[in-house]
Amino acid sequence: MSRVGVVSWGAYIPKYRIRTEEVARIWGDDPLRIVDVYLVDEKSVEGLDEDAVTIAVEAARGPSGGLGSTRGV
Amino acid sequence: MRHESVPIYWRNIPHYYRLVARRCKKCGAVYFPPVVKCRCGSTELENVELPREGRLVEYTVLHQVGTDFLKQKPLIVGLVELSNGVRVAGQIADAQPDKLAPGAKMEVVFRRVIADGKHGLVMYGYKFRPVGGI
Repeated sequence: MSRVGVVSWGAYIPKYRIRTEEVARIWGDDPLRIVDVYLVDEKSVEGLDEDAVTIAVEAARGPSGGLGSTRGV
Repeated sequence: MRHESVPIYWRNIPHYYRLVARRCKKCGAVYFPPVVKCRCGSTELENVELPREGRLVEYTVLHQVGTDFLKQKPLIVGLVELSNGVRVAGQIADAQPDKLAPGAKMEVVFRRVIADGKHGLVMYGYKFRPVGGI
């Protein structure tokens, strides 16, 4: 029986960031409490010209893993 | 990429998505955007994919932009010489205009270019990004 499994993977995180305090402030929550509860300092935000498709493409091509030589398999 | 009809966009997808250029089989000249006839007179050209990295030759910053790009103002447009010497013009994404300089290492990325309204076709294409980010 042939072995089947993941041979490669890639990841990409957009470069822009939003502080958790900022999100909490906009929603009217207490910034310090929200940071304490979720333990998240900042989140990644996509650029205006990015969406699920472009992020997927970047992850598949990316230098941080990428599909490299297995592309097209 | 100019705002164009759906069929024209559709036909050009290989060029917009993967930088597919045309190379003359006789003299080896490479054309991007693609042409049907080489300057040597030959009409025998083949598809070739361009490299995805290069260096910035020059750039300019647009403060007056079309309605499709208002949110992205100011728009940076640059000329990039790819590693095989072919020069390609395109938008520069994820960069601050005052931190760019000719000679900077650039890479090709795949991004949204324009969307035909809220429910229409989203047109994707290539853009450039400084390697390592600035």
